[in-house]
Amino acid sequence: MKKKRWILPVVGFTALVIVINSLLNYMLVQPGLSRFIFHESEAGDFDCIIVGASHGSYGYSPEAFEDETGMKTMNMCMGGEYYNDAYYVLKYALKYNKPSMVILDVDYQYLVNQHDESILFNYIYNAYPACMEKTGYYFSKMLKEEFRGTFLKWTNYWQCYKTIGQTVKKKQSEEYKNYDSSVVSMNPYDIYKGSGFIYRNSDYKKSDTPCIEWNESKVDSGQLGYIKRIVRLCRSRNIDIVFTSAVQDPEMVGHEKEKFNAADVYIKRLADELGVDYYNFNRLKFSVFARDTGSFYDREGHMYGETAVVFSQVVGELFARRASGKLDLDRYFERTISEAYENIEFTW
Amino acid sequence: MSFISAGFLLTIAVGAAVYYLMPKKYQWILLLVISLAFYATYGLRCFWFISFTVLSSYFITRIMYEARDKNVRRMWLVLALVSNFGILLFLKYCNFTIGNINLLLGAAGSGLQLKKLSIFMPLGISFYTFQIMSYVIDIYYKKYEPERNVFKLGLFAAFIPQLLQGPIGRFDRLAPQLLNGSSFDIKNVEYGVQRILWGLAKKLILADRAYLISNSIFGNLSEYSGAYIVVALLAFSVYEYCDFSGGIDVVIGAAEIFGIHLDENFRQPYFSKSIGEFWRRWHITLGTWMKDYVFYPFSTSKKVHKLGKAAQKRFGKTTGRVIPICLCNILIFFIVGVWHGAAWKYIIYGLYNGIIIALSNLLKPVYGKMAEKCHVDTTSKAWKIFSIVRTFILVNIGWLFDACSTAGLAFLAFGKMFVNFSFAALGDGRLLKMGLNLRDYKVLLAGIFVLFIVSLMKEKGINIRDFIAERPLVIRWAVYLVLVFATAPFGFVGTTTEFMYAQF
Repeated sequence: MKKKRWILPVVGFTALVIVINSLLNYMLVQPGLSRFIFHESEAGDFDCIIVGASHGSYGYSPEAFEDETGMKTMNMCMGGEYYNDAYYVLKYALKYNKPSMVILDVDYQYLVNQHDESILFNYIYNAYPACMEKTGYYFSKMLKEEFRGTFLKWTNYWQCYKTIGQTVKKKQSEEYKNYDSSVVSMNPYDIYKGSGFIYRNSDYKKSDTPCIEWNESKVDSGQLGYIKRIVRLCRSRNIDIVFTSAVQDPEMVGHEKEKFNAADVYIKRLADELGVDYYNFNRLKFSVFARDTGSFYDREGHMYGETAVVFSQVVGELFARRASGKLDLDRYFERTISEAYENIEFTW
Repeated sequence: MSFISAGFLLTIAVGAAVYYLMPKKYQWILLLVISLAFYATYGLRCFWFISFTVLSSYFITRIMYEARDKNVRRMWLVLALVSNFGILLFLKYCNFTIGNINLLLGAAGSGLQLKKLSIFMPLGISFYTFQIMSYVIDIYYKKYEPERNVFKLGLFAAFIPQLLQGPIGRFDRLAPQLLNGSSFDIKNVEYGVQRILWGLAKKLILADRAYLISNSIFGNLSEYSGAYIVVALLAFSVYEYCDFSGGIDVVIGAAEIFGIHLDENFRQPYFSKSIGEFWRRWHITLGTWMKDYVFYPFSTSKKVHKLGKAAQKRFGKTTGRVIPICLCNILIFFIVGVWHGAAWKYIIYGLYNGIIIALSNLLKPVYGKMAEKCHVDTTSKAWKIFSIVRTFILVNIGWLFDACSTAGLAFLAFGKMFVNFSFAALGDGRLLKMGLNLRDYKVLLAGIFVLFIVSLMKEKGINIRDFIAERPLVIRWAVYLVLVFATAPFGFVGTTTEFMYAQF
């Protein structure tokens, strides 16, 4: 009996750590949109699921897209959603829905900029509802990540200690329990329009955040592998999978047209190898979708809400034509990025 | 998977639970499986290299041990050393050599340029090669019998976490612990966890912040001078120590949880009173490796003996005796420099240390006379503090070669330290544009203060770990809870760098 005297302190201390940590997580971690997006995806009647990163979440309005295509659409793009995240996000959506189409919005930046061990990229995992898929997600992503990302989730939110009272109140509110997105602490210039679409108000002053340069030698094979897994997953369920790239600030693309062109060629080649259609909307003709630098809230190319709605209509129209077999690519696209941005006028 | 990954910590926790549930005689198998599985997360290609090292060492030591003819034994030893160090040298120095040949060809006006090779560098190769070669050399000297089970030898070479960044272990001390297994002892687990948490705190609270400062300044040397270079150098000093020793704390702590006590690699190095002492306190296992397997065989060789005699004739007994030792030290630190990396800056860094140690040996009598003439009491506290500060400055000058990307830039940085030196310049706001805010600096300074106090206590012989473990439960738990949670609010969030020495 004496020999096992260590058990009580060990179990006691472990329990204390777990309790304190859970309390800190509850009191400090702010309610984010991801939790609501996952919940919305459980509706079970979506015909089209869009996965991708922030360009997608600010760029694709499911409502506008739906008006053109008639497909009930859920935008599951989230900022910082790498392709391994996208794979598990899609897996979760497919648990509840039987869509006929999945759109993977390919932002090349997520191919060449494998994030470091920073815990800043774990919030999609952290919001992921508890299920078997989450175990797979954990083993494929989180095991390699820094321990604070999963064990001490409140690391990113410790500064919120001043608002603990409000956070607890929010989390105990009926709105939070009923997945009402009004409780989410969002950027004051953002409006959540539902179905995953974030509408950035045009009052927001454009920021200078630039794009990460394309560099084929830096393409992460792991992320590439997940794009292929997404394709396989869709094929195994007879879902039509399409790659897109949301349109970006034309001046940014114009400044870096050779790099954008190289990225376009690379992704097109990948799509061809996989037998997937790829629509790079940076090649959209200006006559089809008029845009200038003022249509985007940063140089990287996130859209203002107004731009996104019009853009989504154009995308929807294109997909509607595609579905009816009447899609004439020449009507929509220039052949290369260089051609599309040949006569661009620069203001910065 | 790095040491700060969730996977590593989970592996240790789950691995330890299973380890203690297993019969002792099979525990080593679990350690081998865990080690190989963890190593595999860095890529399967690494296996080819470590397998060659283990297999070649296994067969060679078996044959060598049985051989009666000394020449035959020596031949096998040379074969083992040449093949294993050869691989290490090739992988590390091939492109460096090609680069230098190209420079020479260019200087000679030749248009011919050799193409650099795309070389895969297996993780931990510098550590496991040294570790297993010490085993081969020990077997050559018949210090102990060769291991008869190749998998057991494999565990000695591949034991995670030690494989990635040392400490460089010795077979006679490490293998019995790895292979005989151990019973559960709560003290091992408690001390192991203590040590891991301390290491993680050093890395995440101090090293990652200090790295940003030194990297921002040394990476844009043209924009800074004077006080900024000094700040960068001090930051690098903190980074280098906290990163390397923090990593070693995690390694030693993880091993301790399994009841395996690894050799210490640091002993408050910044309290050293000479460069020689610094190297007895910094990366201790590399230093003792060099001493046992390079210094002694070289200094006791016939040629060096002859050289000593000749030097005594030429320079007198005292100086003549010291000269061979000086040469041995320079050789050792040349190798230390080569071990650190394939660049001239590392070679210069090694030679810088070797020459200082050689000169201080050579000039010891002169220093003694000077101190006597100047009435300096070398046993006084003031002199000790002076010696510590002087050594710290010398060590930091050496760090320039590590911190800057080339030797040329290191010399430039050294020169710039004395240009436009003004502490007031630090107030121009650029310190706050390096990815750190005011709070980060406060945390960094407070952390350094805590580290200093802890190091001072250890220096005074106070065993802090025992001290904590002997406190009442409430105090102990409070300390551990602080350690468990400290990295969340005080740890740096942003670009977390891989442990520096895990890249060797």
